[in-house]
Amino acid sequence: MTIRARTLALNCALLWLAGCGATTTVDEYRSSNQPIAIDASETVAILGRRDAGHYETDREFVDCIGAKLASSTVQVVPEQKLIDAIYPWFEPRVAPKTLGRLRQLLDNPLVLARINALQLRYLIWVDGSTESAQPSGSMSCAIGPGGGGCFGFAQWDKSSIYEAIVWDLRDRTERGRVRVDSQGTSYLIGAVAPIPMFTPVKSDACAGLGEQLSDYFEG
Amino acid sequence: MRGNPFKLGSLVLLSVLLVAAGCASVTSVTPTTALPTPVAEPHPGSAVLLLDEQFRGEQRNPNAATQIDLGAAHSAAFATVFNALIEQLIVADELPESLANGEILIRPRLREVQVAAPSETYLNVYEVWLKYSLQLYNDQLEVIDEWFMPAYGKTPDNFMLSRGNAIQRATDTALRDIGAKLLIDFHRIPSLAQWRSSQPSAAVVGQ
Repeated sequence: MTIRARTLALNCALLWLAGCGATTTVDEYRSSNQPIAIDASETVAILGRRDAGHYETDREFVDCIGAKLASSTVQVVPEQKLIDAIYPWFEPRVAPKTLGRLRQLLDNPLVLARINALQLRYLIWVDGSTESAQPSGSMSCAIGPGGGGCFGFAQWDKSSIYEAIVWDLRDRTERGRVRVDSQGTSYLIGAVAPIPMFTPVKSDACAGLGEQLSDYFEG
Repeated sequence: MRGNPFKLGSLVLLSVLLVAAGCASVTSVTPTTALPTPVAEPHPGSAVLLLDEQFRGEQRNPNAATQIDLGAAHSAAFATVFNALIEQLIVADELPESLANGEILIRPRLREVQVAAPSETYLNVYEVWLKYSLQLYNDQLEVIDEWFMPAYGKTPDNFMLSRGNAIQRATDTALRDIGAKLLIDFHRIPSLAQWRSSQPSAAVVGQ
């Protein structure tokens, strides 16, 4: 390979990587600078908000944060296991949205008994979604007896905005909030074969939120 | 070469029929949800839950392209919920001839089913609405009230979901929603509370 060809290949690779990059901003609020204390026997659950009409926090995203947070010091209860164990109190229609409603719910001895059985100490509510804007550009594909191909260029913006709120079920207080905003542009280049360059905004948002929450618990 | 015109006509007709049959397919959905054991304190008293043959075999066509076989799933859901709500519950499939003193009879009926697909609403989700009514009978088998309750379920999105799977998931969510609605609101039905308070016996439901 000549130097010129190598430079071209390098430029293409850099362009590819630049196209796939997302800008992620993480904001946080903590009620204290101290890390959140959690015993080895205590557990954490992450639940997605699903009461809005036009979107719902998807389970894959919730599972992704759970996987990032789970460690030797933090045990994570699977979302569906908690929702089923306390049915119907975490169904979208009745799930507590405020600390006042949570305190009211925990006054129910049956609910408290189930929560104690799971050794659940912290509840993390995750609310948000990933949206894609309308694509711009144009791409046309054609096929004929001699072969086929796609030519053109299309791009679309994606943004993932999520907020996590940590509730302490023992003290019945809010311990912190993390908000993540990840934005990027995906491209589709038609140069005979269509070449996609997708921006991983959702996985970046998951990584940002998961790492920040891990930092809460581990200091 | 000349073809037989009769044969050719039959072939064209058969092709048209095949295409028409393909276009007019009906998506048949059977919800599979089984409600978890509810966290609820059963109220003292006794009641009969009437799940008649029509309710147990309920099939609805909310539109020409969809059929939902709700019978088995909603019968199981109502039985689970009322077993958690009332201390002594008998599930019957026929109207009993009489009830014990202070006993009530609850008869759920499916009133309406609606389905919305992304192509109709421009939202990225499939939605299902179920509307039930609860007919409440006193121990003289007289209707004291009919209470209507809606339930709603939707899919998180429509990505990689067939129409059938999406409607099934939305229906499963709606059945969980009807369970939640009943568990929270059943004992707050005004006419039920009024009837209970008018009864001399402490054995009536919810006292």
